[in-house]
Amino acid sequence: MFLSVSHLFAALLFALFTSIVLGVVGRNSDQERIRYGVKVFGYFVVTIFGLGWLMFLGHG
Amino acid sequence: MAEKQMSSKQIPPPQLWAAPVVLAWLLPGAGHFYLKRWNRGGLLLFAIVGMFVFGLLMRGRMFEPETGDLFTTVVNWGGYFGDLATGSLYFLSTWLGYEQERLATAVADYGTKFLVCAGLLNILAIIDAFEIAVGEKS
Repeated sequence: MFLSVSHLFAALLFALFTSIVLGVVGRNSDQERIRYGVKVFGYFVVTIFGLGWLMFLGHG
Repeated sequence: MAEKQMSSKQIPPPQLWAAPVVLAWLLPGAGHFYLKRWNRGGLLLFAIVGMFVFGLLMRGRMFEPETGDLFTTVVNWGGYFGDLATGSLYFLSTWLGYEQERLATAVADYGTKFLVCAGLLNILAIIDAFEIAVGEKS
């Protein structure tokens, strides 16, 4: 069984897993961890869509 | 004072951190379980194993320690260490016969990166387990 996924899905999945780990190891209290994990995931999503639009517009 | 600062920067005794560090390498999150950080260990297990499994499902390729020009050597050895850092996940999947040739598809390329990044994230988890074990973190 192999998966064929879109670029967007793969990038969002990567962002999700990475944000969880960075949230867990990056801060010292549970509340800070959740806030940091959500913030990192948000940055990932903004970057994914930002770069996506940049490539789309740059491609002409 | 200087001597005190020097001694405080020495590596703590291995009996404090060796078990959680080795466990964290062998199974993502296991170092945290050993240190009774159940929730954090569970999240690390979910995220790192999830990334590794998706890497396999996307037909990602395991790196081999190839040498050649500088770029080839750095990429292949770096990727190999990244794959090795997933511990038992790497050993189990190769032992069970997972082998993937180079595929010229974007999804397979993503899969290769997922496999390496799972290892890199596990290195962060290992360092976190070390810091908890030696009392630098709660």
